Amino acid sequence: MTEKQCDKLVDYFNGQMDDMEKEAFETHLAGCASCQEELAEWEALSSDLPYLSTPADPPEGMKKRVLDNVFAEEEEPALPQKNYTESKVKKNRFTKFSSPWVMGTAAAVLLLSLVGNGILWSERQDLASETERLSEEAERLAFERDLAEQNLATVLEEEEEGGVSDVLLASNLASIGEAEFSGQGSATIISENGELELLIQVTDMPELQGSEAFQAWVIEGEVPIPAGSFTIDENGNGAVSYNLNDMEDTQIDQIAISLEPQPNSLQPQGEILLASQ
Amino acid sequence: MEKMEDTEVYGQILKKDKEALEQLYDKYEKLLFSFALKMVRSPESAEEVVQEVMMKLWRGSGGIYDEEKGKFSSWILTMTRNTSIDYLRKQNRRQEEEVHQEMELQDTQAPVEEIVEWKQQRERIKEAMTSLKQEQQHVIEMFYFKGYSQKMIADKINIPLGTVKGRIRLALKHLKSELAMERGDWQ
Repeated sequence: MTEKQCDKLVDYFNGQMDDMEKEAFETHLAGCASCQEELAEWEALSSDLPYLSTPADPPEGMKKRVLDNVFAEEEEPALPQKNYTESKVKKNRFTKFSSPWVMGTAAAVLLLSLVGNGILWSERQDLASETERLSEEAERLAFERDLAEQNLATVLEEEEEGGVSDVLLASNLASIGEAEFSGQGSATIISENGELELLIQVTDMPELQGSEAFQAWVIEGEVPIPAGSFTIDENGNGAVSYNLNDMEDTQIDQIAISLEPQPNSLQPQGEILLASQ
Repeated sequence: MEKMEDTEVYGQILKKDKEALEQLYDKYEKLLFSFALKMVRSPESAEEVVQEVMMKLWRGSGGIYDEEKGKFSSWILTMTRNTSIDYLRKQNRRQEEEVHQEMELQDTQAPVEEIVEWKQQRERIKEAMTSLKQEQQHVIEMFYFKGYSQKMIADKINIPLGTVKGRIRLALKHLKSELAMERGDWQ
């Protein structure tokens, strides 16, 4: 089977693989110089090929439609939608980051809109069950960071008691770049008793080698600020929580997860695998 | 020069500057639309692809560009290609469609081209492409523009699965050397 991996470069390049195949191939790719070389060559050559397209005039009004849709998405209120089914919850529950966002003010606005909204309760229920699941996973996992567990446990208790904490922001984390993989996750910022906490949960992450660790980053503009390292269990699941009190005035543009050669890097040295959308 | 400009505009987009996105849209609309059209083959679908690409740019969900990734134009074109392939897969489109019909590289009805650079590029690559054997052109078409799987390519041209990659490599290498000959000073 292994020697055939090299043949799968075609399907990898063309995104014609399921998650497992892709993962297997990426593992192979990491150690196969000839595939790496060939992939680089294909990529280099590809850069010319799009220009082969016959120039075509875009349809009437396309610019307005496209830009309106892009910006409309942006302005949607960051509120959960009604009537989640169990399966939808995982995919859709988290709202997207809207614009660059200064925590103080945005938090106030969000809180107001949340309080005025009856959906809040079901949102919390969802969060509670998600958190519960998370904590169950957490128990199975050998977390390196006791702190993470402690904080999660606190969150869980709070949630079960009826939700003392408030969700300030939630976002899906998805793989970025062309070399997609199956990993995904979520980032949630909650406020409880005046503490701001960032909770990150990931699934289907690639296996770590040696001293490697995943690391969360809060990105302000172009500047990444470390927000906790973590490892995963044998099923690729992991989580971390991080106190954001020091970042009260930070404008969080994005939250990202990178693969670092060792835990607690101050600057990302590895590749960014997941990022908020 | 061009790279600088794109990079600057892109930097503004990351800061959620709507005008910057519009500027970038204006610059790339036609190229991205035409490329997407070649891949997904209906204007409606191509528009959806371009919209998806713009959304990815705006949200940063298609990855963040930096200069290490090469030219900005290549980056955004790759994103367009990947988005097109995703689109095709989601639509699970009638794949049996006119592989042959679409092969007309020597199309006669190209509209007058206003973007000079693109036109030159296109002439150059077209010329290189037409100097390849029909079968190699076909391979590149299926591989690059249709994003076919290895198996589909094998089935289409009736060759063993294991030889597909070799065919692609050969076709790309020929294309590359043709392009190099045209350019003369290249590499």
